[in-house]
Amino acid sequence: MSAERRDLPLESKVVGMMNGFASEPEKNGPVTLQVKNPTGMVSKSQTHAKRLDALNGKTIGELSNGIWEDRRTFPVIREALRKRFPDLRIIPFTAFPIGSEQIDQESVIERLLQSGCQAVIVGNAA
Amino acid sequence: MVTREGFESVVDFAFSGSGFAAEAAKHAFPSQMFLPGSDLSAIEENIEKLVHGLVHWEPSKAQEPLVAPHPITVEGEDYHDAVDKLNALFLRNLWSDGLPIVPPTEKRVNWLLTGTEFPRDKIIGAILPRGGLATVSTVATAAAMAGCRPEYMPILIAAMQAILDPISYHQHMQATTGSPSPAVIVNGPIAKQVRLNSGYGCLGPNALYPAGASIGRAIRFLLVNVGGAIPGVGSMSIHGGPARYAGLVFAEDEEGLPSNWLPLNVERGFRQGADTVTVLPTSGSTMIWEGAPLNEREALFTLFDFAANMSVPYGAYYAAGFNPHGAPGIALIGRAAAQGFAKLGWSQDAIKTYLWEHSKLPDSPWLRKTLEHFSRRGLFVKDHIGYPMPIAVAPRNIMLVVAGGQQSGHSYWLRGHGGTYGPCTKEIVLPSNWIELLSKAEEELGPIAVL
Repeated sequence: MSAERRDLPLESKVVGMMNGFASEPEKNGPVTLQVKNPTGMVSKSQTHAKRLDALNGKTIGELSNGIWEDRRTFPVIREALRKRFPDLRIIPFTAFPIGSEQIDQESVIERLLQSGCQAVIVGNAA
Repeated sequence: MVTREGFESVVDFAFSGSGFAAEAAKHAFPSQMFLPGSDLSAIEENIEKLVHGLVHWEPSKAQEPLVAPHPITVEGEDYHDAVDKLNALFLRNLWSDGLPIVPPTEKRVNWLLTGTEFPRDKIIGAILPRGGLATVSTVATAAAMAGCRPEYMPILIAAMQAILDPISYHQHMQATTGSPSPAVIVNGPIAKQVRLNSGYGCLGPNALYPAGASIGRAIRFLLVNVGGAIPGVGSMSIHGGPARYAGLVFAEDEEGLPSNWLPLNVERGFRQGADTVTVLPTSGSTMIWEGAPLNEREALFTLFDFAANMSVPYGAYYAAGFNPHGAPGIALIGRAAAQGFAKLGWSQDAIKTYLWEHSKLPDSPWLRKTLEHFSRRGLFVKDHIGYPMPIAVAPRNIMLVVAGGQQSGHSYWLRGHGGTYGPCTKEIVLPSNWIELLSKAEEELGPIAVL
């Protein structure tokens, strides 16, 4: 096998690349360099839901990604809240789809609303 | 949100990506609380903080409909000093990758935009978790930083369209603790035209075929700077992986395909000769020692070696490989190996079937327990499990691509990353000045090398 090598002299090749491709022409003296911001625009069109005025008498749902001991952590959270707010109704995460992709669906929001949930605790650990 | 210490920024970015200000009502517990058998007393001790999040929390950041970034200006004693200062600034802002960047000046970005006829403010998509908008101009800015040329822009834009397609579920690739990077496979005449490697060293650097490195780097700049996949902040990838520097951008060796084998894009429903990109997030790579099917015995030995390397208890297989649109990975074989297989009567389907059959995981108590765990997460239906367990729904899910040096000898397995829906192929759109761009490239880089 063989390679067709570029036969341009090194100097002229570098000059050609500089003009079309590489650095700005060298300048002596102070330089102000302005460049584009690489981060892009971000749209902030959503507002966070208003908080509940109290927890007693309300209904909260749980959503879980299904990992990191959710079957241990959520019941403890539930128990701690019920101790403080005896009239708080909590629908466990097992009543809804489980998993990061599974809970990231509009249909899950519908189910939460249909269940009467006024707030959601989302976990777990991620 | 119930999260763990160290992941607070991931949660904030997730809200950002949904159009909120980058903050959320959350409480972070120590990571060890989420381990088996842990002490959960921290929950009772901090329950008031959860109550605060439900009842009292207020966002602190103002609501703005569209936040446009300002240009960046640096002053230097001379040009080199200004470039040095710019690189330092980009590092401080977490906009760089540790290697020098090319200043994305207006002039350079405009030069790159000659490589596409899409309007500069056309939105390709929002890159999660941050939700920054990838416009054609933003893509050109990343391309500038990475050292791309205008003729790379059609591939770069198509690759971003594929990454942002819902089937790629890129938000998982962006934020996961795993180490996925998008493998970008190009088909069609464009590959050779822009000097994209399909031969020797195709997964690594090559000055004769430089396109892949800067396209891959530009993709990473977009995923980090626009999408927020900053290590430890928006991306919790534990190891990152070497592919996150310059990506995995290469071409299929279509000239080396056996006459009765189809290019990857034709297998995926595109017309022969179409310029396309196919993207699949991959999070591991393994060289396969064998790849020299000079006779049937050696062919079987090659496939045995390949299947053995594929047959590992890898979570991604069961997490997403059982998705009917998923792919457990990309099997790369060089043209000599492909032609050797074909001469012996092996078709692409026959190779995939052999690999699928012989890479099945044997039944074991460990495997059953692991699958039970993934089933509980709803990642696949338990009833579909058969033992020994295949690594994909069907042989067709294995991607087989001809690429690499022309002689036979070794092969390569790029393992797919779970959590994605599947590979995505997009057609590349060329600008009307394409021939002019290629002529200019030849003027500056010399004739395309033929090895």
